[in-house]
Amino acid sequence: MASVRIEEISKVYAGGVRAVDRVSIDIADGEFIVLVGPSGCGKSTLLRMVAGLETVTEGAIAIGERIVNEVDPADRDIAMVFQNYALYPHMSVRQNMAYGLKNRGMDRAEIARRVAEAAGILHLGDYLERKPRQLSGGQRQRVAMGRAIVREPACFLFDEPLSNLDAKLRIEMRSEIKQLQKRLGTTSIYVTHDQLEAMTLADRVVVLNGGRVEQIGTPREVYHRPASVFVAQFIGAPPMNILPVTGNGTGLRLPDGPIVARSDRLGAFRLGIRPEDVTLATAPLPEGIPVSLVHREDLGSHNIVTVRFDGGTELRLATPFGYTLEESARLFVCLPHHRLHLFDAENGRVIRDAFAQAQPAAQEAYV
Amino acid sequence: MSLSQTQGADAMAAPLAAPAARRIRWRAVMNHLILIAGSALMIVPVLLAFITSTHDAVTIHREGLQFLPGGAFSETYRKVLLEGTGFTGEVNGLTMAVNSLILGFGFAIGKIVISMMAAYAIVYFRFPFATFAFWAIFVTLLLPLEVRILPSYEIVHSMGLTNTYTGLIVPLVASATGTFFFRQFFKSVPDELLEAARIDGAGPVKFFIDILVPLSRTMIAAIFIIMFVYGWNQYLWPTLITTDESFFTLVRGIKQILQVWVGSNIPEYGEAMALAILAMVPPVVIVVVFQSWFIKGLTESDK
Amino acid sequence: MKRVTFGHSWLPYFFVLPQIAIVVVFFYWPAGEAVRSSFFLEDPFGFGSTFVGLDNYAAALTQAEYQRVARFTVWFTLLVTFFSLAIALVLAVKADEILRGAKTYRTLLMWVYAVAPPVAGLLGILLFDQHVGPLVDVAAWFGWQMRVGVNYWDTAFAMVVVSVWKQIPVNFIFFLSGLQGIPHSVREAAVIDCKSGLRRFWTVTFPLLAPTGFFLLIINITYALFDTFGVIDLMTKNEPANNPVTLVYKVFLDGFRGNDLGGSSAQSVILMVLVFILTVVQFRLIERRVHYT
Repeated sequence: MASVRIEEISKVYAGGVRAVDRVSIDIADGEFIVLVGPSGCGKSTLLRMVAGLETVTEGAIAIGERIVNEVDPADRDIAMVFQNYALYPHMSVRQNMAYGLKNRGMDRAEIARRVAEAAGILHLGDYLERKPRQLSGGQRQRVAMGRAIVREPACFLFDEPLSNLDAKLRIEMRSEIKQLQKRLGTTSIYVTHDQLEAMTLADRVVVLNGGRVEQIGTPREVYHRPASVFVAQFIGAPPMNILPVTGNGTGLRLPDGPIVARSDRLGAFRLGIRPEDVTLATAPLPEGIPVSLVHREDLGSHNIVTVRFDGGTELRLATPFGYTLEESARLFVCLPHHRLHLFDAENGRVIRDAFAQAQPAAQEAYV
Repeated sequence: MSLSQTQGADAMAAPLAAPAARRIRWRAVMNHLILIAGSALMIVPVLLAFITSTHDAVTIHREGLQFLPGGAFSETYRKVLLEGTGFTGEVNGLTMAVNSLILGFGFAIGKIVISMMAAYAIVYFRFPFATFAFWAIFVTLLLPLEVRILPSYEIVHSMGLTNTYTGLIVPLVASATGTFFFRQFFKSVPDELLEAARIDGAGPVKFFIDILVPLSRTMIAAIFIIMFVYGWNQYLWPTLITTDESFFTLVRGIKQILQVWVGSNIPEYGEAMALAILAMVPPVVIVVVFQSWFIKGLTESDK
Repeated sequence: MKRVTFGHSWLPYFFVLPQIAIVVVFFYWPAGEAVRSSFFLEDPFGFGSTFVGLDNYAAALTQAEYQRVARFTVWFTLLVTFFSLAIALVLAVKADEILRGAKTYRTLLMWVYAVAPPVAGLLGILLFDQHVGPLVDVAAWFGWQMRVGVNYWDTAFAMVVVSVWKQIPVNFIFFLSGLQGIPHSVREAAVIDCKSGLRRFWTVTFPLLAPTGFFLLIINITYALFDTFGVIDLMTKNEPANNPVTLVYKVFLDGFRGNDLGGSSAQSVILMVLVFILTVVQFRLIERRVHYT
């Protein structure tokens, strides 16, 4: 077990492409960190640099107290679970798990003990003599985990380990991985493009975009206090509504449309609000804004409703199940102040406390 | 595999296709007839040769090729296998078969070992001259041995390698077909396997022996079959390089028997045919028995 | 090239060295030697050689005999390639179509792959033998007095037949595997879109098989040019003078029988250029193939 420090590391490829750009992450001992972002954001490259499979162009990586930039992958005291599992097809489950230990010259009894223990944890006891091709996807996934566990490493590295599984199995394995990590208490770095996976697994989420860190925080932080438009839209489904607004000193106005929030700011901004934070009403509310209905999706547990403001800007919102809407009904939406996020129109960074008068203590309880 | 799919699809489609069943039946009959004719085209010449080889020379000379087995089978084959043929009468079919085996195995094994090693270096290492080595090896795909036969002979001759197994086998290995096969195969091995092995602490030699070679087993088997058949069937090179009859292979011996034949009154048709049969049986058996590997190796080589 | 590679200093050299050594000694040296001696005239009695520039090439190309052999080679190649491809394609399509016994037919149609060309040539000699050959009898029914080994055209005919016979299995194997590689969904879509089986073959199956066909075309040309050596050597029965031979056989004849080192080498080089062009075309096509799939 060890902490992992990633300090200002960059990866520049031969063509001058900066795949990872000055990323710093401090990972505490036993912490579960998830790197999340769209494909090409550098998350896998970052992980592979920690593993030692990619060279580090700039910066330093330390596992425990040791800088490992120049250390061979085998000597970094890490274990990795690959997306396609990378099991050795010609070796049995037992041999797959034992191979790395044998190469380190560990004695047979100890290898046998560790393999048996890992097989017990992962319910692989009956499959030890099978070849990978005789196993189901979920079992292969477990073998890949087992191969990592037996090494008793300082740090687990997961490279999208669940993306080859079907949806149902993915959810099962997700909770298994989480429980296993809690039980073993091993520092883990987990790469995924699936924000839901990130939210459910992570102690802290690192949102990456274009090789840079957009935000590091607990799942709640990145969800409720996104640091940028990118994070706001990447985390959560359906994504946060981002409305282009202009501040005229008294309020924020939609293009050719109504004022949607009170504010004394001047200039162009982007206003964010999550679909579930919007209030919908069929009668005029105080501060209610008239909208027209565009589209309604019934998801069973709730509805996703798309409405349009005067001027054409659309807004998506979530309403509870059973809420019926008549096509012709006059609709009003209300955007609660304390649920609004204001972003810089240029760089997309959040402007904290933009609606200071309406930050109730209740929201802090979320975070 | 796709065969069973075809059957499955047909079984489901059958009830729907009922009105057209008659036409389909006729089509199937036609297809079978064509395939039977094709199979006959392939088999009959060899079958004729075999049946004829069970008759004695006089019968064949008087009555032509035979369509029914004769009584001289054991006599002819015993003679061809154990008694001397050729000019000096020192070499028999058995010696030639052994030489053929040595050539087939030597060539196949030598080729696989050498080309696997070269392909491994080219695919898994980054080193100066890698590109150069790659091209130096792959240019050999361009020119078959036949077009450079004379200088090849002279060089091997000047090295004193005529009438040696080395001279027979090694120059044949100088083409990149095997390397090309293995390079394609190694490139298709997932990168993650190497990465996992590196995290597991395997160095280059360990990775090669522990992971890559076992992983290539099917590929090795397929290439072995192709190369064995290729080596066994070599004709021109053995003809040039072996003048000492004790080094003759079966395929090389074919020419010898023909030369005896041309001058004689009653040619030994039976013995010639027996020798031809002996020369084709081992490679044919291997190809038929290991059919699926062989076809896989052959058809995947061009990708 | 792999994403991750080993960075060992001498190990890769150790691995490529055997192959490189063999290639240099038994490929580059002879090939270079062929090119070099094609510019020299060797004294037949071994008293040195004189540089003659392109004379050997000029002599070879203007020689009537060479032109005759070249013409025969072209016709031979065309006929062998066409017939072995056509017959194999028909058989492969049928073998792919039938439901029962496909595996048996595959075995029956492919095993001749393992028969060596000279062995095929020997079988040919027997079947076309003046005294005992049944095919000569068949030809006689049609009033054709076949004299293989004596009459130029009769020998040529027999050579083509034997060479086609020997090459059908390879083409069959590749065509069948190409056909089986066509996705079922595509065939089913074609069945829905097009009623006529023959039309379906020409408009859907054949174009999808074209890459395999291109590849085989080159393979077959190479086969007809070089690998038929054994067939020709046997079927001319050591009397190449009045029998048809191919260019590669002439290289062998002039070099080993005629002791014309320079002339033989010049012919080698001409063939090398030809093969080089063919192979470059082949690589191009293989590259294109990648895009197909």
